[in-house]
Amino acid sequence: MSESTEKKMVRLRSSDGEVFEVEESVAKVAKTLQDMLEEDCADAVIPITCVRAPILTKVIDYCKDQVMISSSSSTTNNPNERTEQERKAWGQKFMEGVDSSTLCELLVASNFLNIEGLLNLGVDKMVSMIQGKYPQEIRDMFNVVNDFTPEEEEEIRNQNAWAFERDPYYKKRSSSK
Amino acid sequence: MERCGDFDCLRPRKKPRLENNLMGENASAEDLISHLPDECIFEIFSFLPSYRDRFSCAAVSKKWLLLQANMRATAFKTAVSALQKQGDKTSRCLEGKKANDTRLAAIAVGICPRGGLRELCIRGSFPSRGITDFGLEIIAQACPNLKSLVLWNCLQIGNRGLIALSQRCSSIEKLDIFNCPLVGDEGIISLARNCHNLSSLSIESCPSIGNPALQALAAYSSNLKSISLTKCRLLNDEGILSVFSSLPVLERVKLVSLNIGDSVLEAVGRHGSSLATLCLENISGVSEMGFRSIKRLKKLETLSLKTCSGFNDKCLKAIGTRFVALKRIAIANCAAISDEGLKELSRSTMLLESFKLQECHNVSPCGLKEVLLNCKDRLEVLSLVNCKGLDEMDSSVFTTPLPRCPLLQSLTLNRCYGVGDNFLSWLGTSCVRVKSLELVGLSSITDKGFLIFLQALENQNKGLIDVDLSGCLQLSDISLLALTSGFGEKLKSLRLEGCQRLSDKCLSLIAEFCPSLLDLDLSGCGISDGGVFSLVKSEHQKIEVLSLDGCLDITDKSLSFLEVMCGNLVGLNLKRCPRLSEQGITSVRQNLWWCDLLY
Repeated sequence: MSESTEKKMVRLRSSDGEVFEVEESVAKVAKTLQDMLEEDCADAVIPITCVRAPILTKVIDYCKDQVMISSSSSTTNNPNERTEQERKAWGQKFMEGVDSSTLCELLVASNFLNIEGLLNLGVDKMVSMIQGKYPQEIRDMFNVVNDFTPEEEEEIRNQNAWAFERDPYYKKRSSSK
Repeated sequence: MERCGDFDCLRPRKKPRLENNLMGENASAEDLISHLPDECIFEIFSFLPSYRDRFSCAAVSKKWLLLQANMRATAFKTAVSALQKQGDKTSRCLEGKKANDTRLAAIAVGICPRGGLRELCIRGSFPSRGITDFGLEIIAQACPNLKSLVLWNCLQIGNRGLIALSQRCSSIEKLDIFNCPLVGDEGIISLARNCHNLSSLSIESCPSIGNPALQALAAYSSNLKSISLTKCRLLNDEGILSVFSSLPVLERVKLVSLNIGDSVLEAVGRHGSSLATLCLENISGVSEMGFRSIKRLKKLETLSLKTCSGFNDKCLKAIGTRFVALKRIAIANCAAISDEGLKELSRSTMLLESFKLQECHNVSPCGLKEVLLNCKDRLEVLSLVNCKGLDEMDSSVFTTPLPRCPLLQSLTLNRCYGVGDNFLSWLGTSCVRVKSLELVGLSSITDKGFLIFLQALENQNKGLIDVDLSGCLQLSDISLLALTSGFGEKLKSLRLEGCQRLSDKCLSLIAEFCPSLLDLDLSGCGISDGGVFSLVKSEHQKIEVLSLDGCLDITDKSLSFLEVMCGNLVGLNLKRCPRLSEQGITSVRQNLWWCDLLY
């Protein structure tokens, strides 16, 4: 980090117009940006059209952290020197308090920018949110519109009812819907 | 920690946006997850392998359902063992509106963990949003054990879907495909190559399927036992010949409205050593020479010919020289058939159980006599429909009594307008044990002929179960008296449509003598409220279906009788009854709410 003044800076513009200046090494954590930088588009501001400023901030945080890990262990040439447990704990901490809306945007961003580590964190979080939930709970969580006709919904329920047979909670909920 | 702190600072900036969205809930509540690319959602699903989570996700929205249906078993990060649930229904039928990809996906997700469907039947009707190849691909993935597939009117299904199915569902045994214009040779070829258990194939009105498809079947489908080809304009001798010459195990063949010639039937005769059923319909290119080859089919039990102009007496004679196994024969609209041919044929068909003639106008009572004389021991079904030659011009034939046919159970005389009292009473001696009697549109027969016919039925026979006298205009209450008092005990169905001379009296007879009656059709009979009353007042009547279509004298009074006394009714036809009021119908609808009402 001490060399940061000599480092080349990259400017990123979020979808809502905010410009972020980050070190090139940080930007390069995102594979998509790395490809762009290698093709010499560095001087201009890179527009990240599908990511809003708050999300981009969070993404940059993640990238900075990755750079810090790799620079602290640059001699061993092993960026994942932190133990598995530490990484997990760090990831959980990073995702703590992220609500479903932010999470979705983070996933879109990490998918677009091609940051595998962040994508995996997001998917893990998403899985833990969906697991064990009922359809309506999932819809509420992500604002998904129920576009089934009542007949289709009934059909799906009938086809799948056997998996919920011993679950009075499900029956009660599904019949009240 | 600092980072998380940073993040928390950002949250307030984001919040207002979310609240805005929530306020305009109906119109613009943003679907957060819809921005995610499919591969992202797939990735998430792959960590949720349990059935409950899969089903919950599938029930969220159409998009999620389709994504979930497209998850392959191998895509999940952790495996969940397949569930075997015994005695569960593994066949599904989707019809009309219900035949769409969404339903198919729902079925796929639900049935997949249980080993998939065995039978799937799709009868589409919606040209715009029916089942597509995408839907079939989903099924292919979810149902590797599919055995039977029916695709009717699937206008959007093409080769892609069929190829996917044939590659993944290699145990398909039965395919019935009708009016699928986009399915062509490629799909059928893939099926032939991959599904070696294919035993039954029916292709109808598929204009893109041609000879290469049949050649592939000939090459690969050695287990094919039944094939039915109807109205496929690309098919001709070349393809069909290859099927018959390569597949000697064929047992059942049906060819309808195809452009084929004599060589095809010669091939059938030469190679069809296992053939038990042969149906040919609307085949104009085959001549006498071709049809003569039928005689070589030693195992043939059922022969059905309709609108085959080349089929004539000489063919029947040729068949008659060899045949012994034939049990069922049906000939329709073959003008060249006459008494002579039937005589020759019946000499060698002692095992004949079913004899059906339709629109063969050159057959006279003499020909019928020959058939009955020769086949009297085994004959069970006799059906004569619209044969103008069955008349009473030559009355000398009626002096020879017909033999008794002890097994004859079903007699149909439908729209043979030449049939009168003499013919009917003459035929009666053969039909002594008949259970199902259909005398329809015989406008010349009177009470006299019908009474003699009934008298010939053996005394111990109370066995009449179904009787249809529709359109026998001259029958009066006298016939009904003889019928009901003598044979009403076991009668289940009685149809008297258009018997104008029947009056209210016949209804009290029915009420008195027919305790087992379930289905009564009085359409166009001259009955009134009094008749209906006498019918329903009987305590033991349990009629389920009643038609009063076109009974001009029926008024709301009848309806009130029916409401009170016919608790068994499940179907009621009140069409064309001008004296019924709107209120009367409404009242019936309310009081007999379980009953299907036509008006």
